[in-house]
Amino acid sequence: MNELVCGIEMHIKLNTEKKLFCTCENSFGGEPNSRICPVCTGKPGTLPKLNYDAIKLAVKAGKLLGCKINGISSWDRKNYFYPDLPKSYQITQSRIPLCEDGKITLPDGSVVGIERIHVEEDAAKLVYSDGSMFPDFNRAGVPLIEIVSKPDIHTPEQAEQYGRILREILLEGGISDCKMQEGSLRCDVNVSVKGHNRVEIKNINSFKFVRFAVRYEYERQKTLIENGVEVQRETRRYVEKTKSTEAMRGKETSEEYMYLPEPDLLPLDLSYLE
Amino acid sequence: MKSLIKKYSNEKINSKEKFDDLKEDNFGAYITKCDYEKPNDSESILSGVPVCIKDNIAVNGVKMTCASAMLENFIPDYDAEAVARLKKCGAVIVAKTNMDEFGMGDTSKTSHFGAVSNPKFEGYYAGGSSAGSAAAVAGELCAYALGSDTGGSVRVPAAFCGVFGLCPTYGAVSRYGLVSYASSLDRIGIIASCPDDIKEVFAVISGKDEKDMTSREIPYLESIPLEKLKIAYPEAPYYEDEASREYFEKTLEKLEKKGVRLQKTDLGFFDGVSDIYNTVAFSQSSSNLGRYTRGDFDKISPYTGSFAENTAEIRERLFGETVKERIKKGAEYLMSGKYEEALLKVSEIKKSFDKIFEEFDLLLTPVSPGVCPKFGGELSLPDYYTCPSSLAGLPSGAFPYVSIPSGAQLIGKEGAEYVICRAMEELCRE
Repeated sequence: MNELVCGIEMHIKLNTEKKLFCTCENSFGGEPNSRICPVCTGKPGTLPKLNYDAIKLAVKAGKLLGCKINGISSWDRKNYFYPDLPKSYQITQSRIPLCEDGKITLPDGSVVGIERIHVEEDAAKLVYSDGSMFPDFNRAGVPLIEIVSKPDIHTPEQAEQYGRILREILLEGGISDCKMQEGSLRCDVNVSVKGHNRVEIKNINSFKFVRFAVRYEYERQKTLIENGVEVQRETRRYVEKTKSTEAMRGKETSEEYMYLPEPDLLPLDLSYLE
Repeated sequence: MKSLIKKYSNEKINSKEKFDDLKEDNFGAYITKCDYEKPNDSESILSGVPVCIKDNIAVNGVKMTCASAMLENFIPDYDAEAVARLKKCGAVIVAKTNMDEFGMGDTSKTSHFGAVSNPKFEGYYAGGSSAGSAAAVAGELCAYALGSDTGGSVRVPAAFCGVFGLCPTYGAVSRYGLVSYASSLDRIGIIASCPDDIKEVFAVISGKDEKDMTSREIPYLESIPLEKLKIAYPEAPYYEDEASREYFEKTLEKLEKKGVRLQKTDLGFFDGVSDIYNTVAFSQSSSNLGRYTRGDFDKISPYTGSFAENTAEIRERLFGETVKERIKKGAEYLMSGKYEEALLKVSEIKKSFDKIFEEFDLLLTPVSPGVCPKFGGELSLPDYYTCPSSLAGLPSGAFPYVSIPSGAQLIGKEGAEYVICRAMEELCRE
């Protein structure tokens, strides 16, 4: 009764020298907008040119996690308007991801399945100051992999363990520096009580917080259900101070994405790597 | 039919005086006149020869407006690959040319800067969307011009202005620096005073470019004499006026006299292609034009207030009506799944063309079902003949009827550019 069901999506910055679709340096910090070019700022007429180093690392990650690697995968555009998105779409892989069907085993012997790993570009970072904001495009176009687990996690402790083990594997494999404080590894957690609506908690920046967030959210949802109130399908954020979660504004959580197969790139064909 | 490239090649522009002596634009063909830049030293026949560039193709340091208020002050700091290759050969860029806003239109009346007039036929439009490029060549303001063709935008204005146009095989010319309208259909094309000139320019700008992953090396078919060609033409052509029938039939007679083997073929699959084309083009445009969320595109300035509201306001104010309508329809097609359905039909269209080219070298059709409209007029299906080969990615060359503002086109299989150019050259030779 009232079993916890949890899945985790992790965004991981790949350890490449250059960005995913241009030759700007892929690094952290420095002057805002010092590592930008017409391509990663989305200037009219520019086109993406794939950095195969990122693909090699993503394939390696897939292998380390026991995934099936797709010889041909798709590039897709996820269209939405946001000031951090220079082209108003993100190039990602939605129809066919690079890697599918992996797994990792937790210390308690339970197995968490990996549904998919896909490659995508990061958005710009928004810098806020005195009531205005500006985009720092240094991060725009940085190569990421998104690792999506199956909803195989059933305790807050397992959620934390899953994250820690995954990071260990990626660090050892040289896939990423996995620095959470620099945003090289970001966690979104989906939590529900079995048979009820799901809630997504976005951008949790430590594995301890993952455990706290899952625990809080599970208790919150259980209480609602026990009182006969259905859980609302929504996106929430973790609040460090109170070790709790709160709903994000509707505007930040639009689910109405428009997808389009990316016409500026050929399907990703791994035979080019050989 | 004279070669303007040869004419200018003999009298190279290598001084500002000569540059300033070029004919003046009385047709509304230009959006931005370029400053004189000393051309590269080069052995190329294009060295010192003046060229015009459609204003959706980037020239480093020169305003690129796409004939839209949205980009009125945008200055790219990069060259399109095709432009870079021309510059390397010593080309002298005269001006950026007028067009339909973002390439969306067939008369250039959607331009923020007003429609272009036809230099050879007074009172007529110059076609579209590469109207300024066609008018600049027809008016001899330059020797040749680059345009872009998504559904007929090089071929239609070229024929309407009494000059020649080539829409190359998809992937033959890099799209880097060409502002995207519908990425899987967009191609940089060439407008010139004769097919030989087109060949010269094509040889320079074609070839794989690392910056455009959809570009590639294409094995080009060797050209053959006109009388050895087997050419198909439509069994039941669709016309919007009598002159179009008369002149297309005259062209067939002329070909017959030259000993070409002509044969009717069923082009029933052309019917309804405009709808499929619109679905594909508008869908992609709604994504491609999403990036225009602010007026000052080349600056990184802070945002204040609501991003969503500001963006909506700017797009409402700075996009023209046609652009807004196409973006809106395209978003609907993407959300409803109509786009994916259209893509399936595109592969059927490709197969229909394949079948024709199993038997024939080239397919001859009118460029347009009707002659170029006079100012204020319009055609009902202006892209009826041009958009099928756009969807199939095939090359096509347009040639003019000369005495009326319209023309015909030869469509070939992948890599048939030189076959098409030679056929046009031999057919149109006096």
